[in-house]
Amino acid sequence: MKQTVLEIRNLAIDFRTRGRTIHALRGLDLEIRKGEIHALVGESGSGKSVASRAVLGLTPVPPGDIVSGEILYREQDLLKLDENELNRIRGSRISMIFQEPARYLNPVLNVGEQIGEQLRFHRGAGRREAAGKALDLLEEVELGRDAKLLKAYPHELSGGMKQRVMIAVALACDPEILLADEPTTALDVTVQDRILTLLLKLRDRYNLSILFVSHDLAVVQSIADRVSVIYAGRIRESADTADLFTTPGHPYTTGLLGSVPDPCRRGKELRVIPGTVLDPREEPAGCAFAPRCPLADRRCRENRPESETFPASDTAGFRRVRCFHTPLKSRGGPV
Amino acid sequence: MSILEIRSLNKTFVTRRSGRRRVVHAVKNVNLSIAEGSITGLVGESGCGKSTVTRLILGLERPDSGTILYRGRDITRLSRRERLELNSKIQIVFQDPDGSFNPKKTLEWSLGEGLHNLGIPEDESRRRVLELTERVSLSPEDLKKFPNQLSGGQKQRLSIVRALSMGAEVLMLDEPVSSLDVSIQAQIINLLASLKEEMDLSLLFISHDLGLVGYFCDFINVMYRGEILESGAADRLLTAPEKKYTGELFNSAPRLDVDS
Repeated sequence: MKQTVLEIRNLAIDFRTRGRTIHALRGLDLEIRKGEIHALVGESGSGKSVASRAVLGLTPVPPGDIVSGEILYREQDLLKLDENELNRIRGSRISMIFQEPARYLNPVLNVGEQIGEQLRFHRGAGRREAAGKALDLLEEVELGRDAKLLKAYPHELSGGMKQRVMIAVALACDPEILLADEPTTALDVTVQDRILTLLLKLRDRYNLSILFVSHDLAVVQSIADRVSVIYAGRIRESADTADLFTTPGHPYTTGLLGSVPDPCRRGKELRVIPGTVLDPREEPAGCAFAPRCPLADRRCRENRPESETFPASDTAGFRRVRCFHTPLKSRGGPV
Repeated sequence: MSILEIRSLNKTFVTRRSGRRRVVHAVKNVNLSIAEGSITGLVGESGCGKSTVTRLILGLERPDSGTILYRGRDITRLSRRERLELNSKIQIVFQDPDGSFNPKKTLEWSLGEGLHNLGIPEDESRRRVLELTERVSLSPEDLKKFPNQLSGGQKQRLSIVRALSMGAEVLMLDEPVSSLDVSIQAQIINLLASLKEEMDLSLLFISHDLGLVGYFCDFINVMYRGEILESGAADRLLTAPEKKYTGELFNSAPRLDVDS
């Protein structure tokens, strides 16, 4: 089993506004291993972006409130670091890319300056050295060694090029972990395809660990090694990609897979998950998915299931499911 | 038999950029037909002219040339009165339900407005709206609410109610589920499929989601830079596209691979 590089334990985050409390994360556990693309899949409001941002201390406090939990990276709890200590990790050891590169690139800095900024801040590089490295990085993200491009500003680039520049900025200091929050959602399908291929190549070359946040199951299946499914602020199921898609262990995962329209299922009705997501203000006594679950009974409504470990098809591995009635129980039971 | 048929439709827009006149050919010689009772798809990447086609059908834009036949009759040059009557037969549901309801009015008001304009008596209009609201699994109390009190999926159901209460025969759906989550998306798609059967509707389904179009539509039209590049039965287009672009478009979208 590969070594764990980042571990989130029991993370709970609330947001308080005008007397209302929103429970964004209700005890999230997540482990990311070396060289792994780990997808965090969920619908809007499930807490997936809140979780990825919390890793780099990007939770706005207030209105955010970190109720409990720890985020372990190299034997230190990132939640306990002060702003200076975090700045040494941000963009250097752990970096992040976002859905809308236009919002996260600085509109008044050219491409060379944006990439160089990282190297000068974290590595103390001089201007010339930074410019040279920036060219290498442009080549790395398949934009070519183009000195003219270093002088271009974000508004002169297409959406796909901006995303590549943001990836170059993120990789400038050779990070160990890349957090990617819906990096291809805003792109047309043909461009998305190329960015996904690029991320796979970079993972292989640098043994990079990637947390890939997404709502798109088809994209996740095509890129991830391991998948964690989040619903109402908790991981419901975590498994190797092949296992998750062939034998989903949680009824929510089964429901999600059934809801995806596919040309092969033409004429058949889509299997839907009835109802709507849990109101983030509510604190149900039982399983948060119970009101929409076909398997739910009284026990589910009154008690909260804990995460249990089951064998994986890869005998060295394991999978985790948080459900009393998981179909995995009937095939061998928990280990 | 086509309920709606578009023949050699053209539309250009003139823009001025730093004093220079530029002509954008948004819709170029488009032919498209919607068979009665079918689900016809229109796909393409952003900016290809999909939405302009819907605006031309609705009479919100006047075409430069070409005809749009509704049950064999040209509807591109109608009087105001004729257009008003026709509008009840051809209705549209937009991508963003927030943009299509007045935030300061209750949903009951918004749903009644079109019927009122048609001169439908109030009790008849209320009856139609209530019946359809229950059909889409919402309660009469929901109609008393304001748009911000409902979820995106609920609002999209009410957009469908509004279109159908007018007595629509052709329903145009412009990216109707792309702002919704997968689980809610599936609910709306199933709902549309059963309403189509119950009410004998013909649907024009516009989307950039190729998996969805391939699943839902009988016929698909691929649009590229204002032109219809290729059209045909969905099965054929998915398995044996004639144009290279169609194949690329479909193959670059990752597709979910599950046994069931």
